[in-house]
Amino acid sequence: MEDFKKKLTQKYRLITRFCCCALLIYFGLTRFVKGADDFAVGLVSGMFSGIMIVSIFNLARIHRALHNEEKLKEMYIQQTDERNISISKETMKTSSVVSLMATAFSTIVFGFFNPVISMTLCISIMADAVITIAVQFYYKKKM
Amino acid sequence: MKNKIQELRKSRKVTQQELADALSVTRQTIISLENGRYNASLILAHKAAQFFGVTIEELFIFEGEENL
Repeated sequence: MEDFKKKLTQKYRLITRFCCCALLIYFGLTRFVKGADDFAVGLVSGMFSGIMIVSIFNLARIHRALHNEEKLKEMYIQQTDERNISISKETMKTSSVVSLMATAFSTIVFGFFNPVISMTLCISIMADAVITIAVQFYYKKKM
Repeated sequence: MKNKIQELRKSRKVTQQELADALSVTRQTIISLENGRYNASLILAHKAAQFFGVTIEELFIFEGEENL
C-alpha cells in the first residue's frame, strides 16, 4: 500500500506540473499569437478547458485518497484489480483494431472526394503501424 | 475453467465482499470468477487457494485443452 501511496503522490505532482504547463501554453498562445482565427482560438480554449476539468477532477480524487485510508484502499483495489486491468487491455486491443479498420475505410472513401484528407489518414495509419511495431519490439525485448 | 470458489465460500459462510477484500480485488471479480466468466491469474489463484487452505488444483478444475 505504501508503494501505491508513493505512486499516487508522484501522479499528483505530475498532474499539477502538467496543469501549470497547460496554463502557460494557453496564455502564451492566446496573448502572444496575434491574428489567430476564431476557429484556432476556440480549439485551443476548448482543449484547455477539457484538460483542466479532467486534471482538477483527478487531482481532487487523488487528494481525497491520500488523506483518507478507506478511499485509498478503495482506489488501490479499483486500480490493481486484475479483471479491471484485463478489461482495459481487451478494450484497448479491440478499439485499436476497430479504429484502424475505420481509418483504413475512410482513407479509401476519401480518396474519391478529397485527396488531402485521404493522404492525411494514410499517414496516420502508417504512423500508427510504426508506433505499434516499436512498442511490440520493446515488449518482446522486455518479456 | 470451472472452480469451486462459490462452493467453498458458501460452506465457510464468507460473503463475496469479504472474499474480495481478503484477495484485494473487487466484488465484481469474485462474481465473474464464480460464474466462470473470468479466469484468475496464477497470483490470484494462489491467493484464493491460500485463503481457503486448499491447493490450486483442488480449487480450479482444468478441463482438457482450454483456450486462454
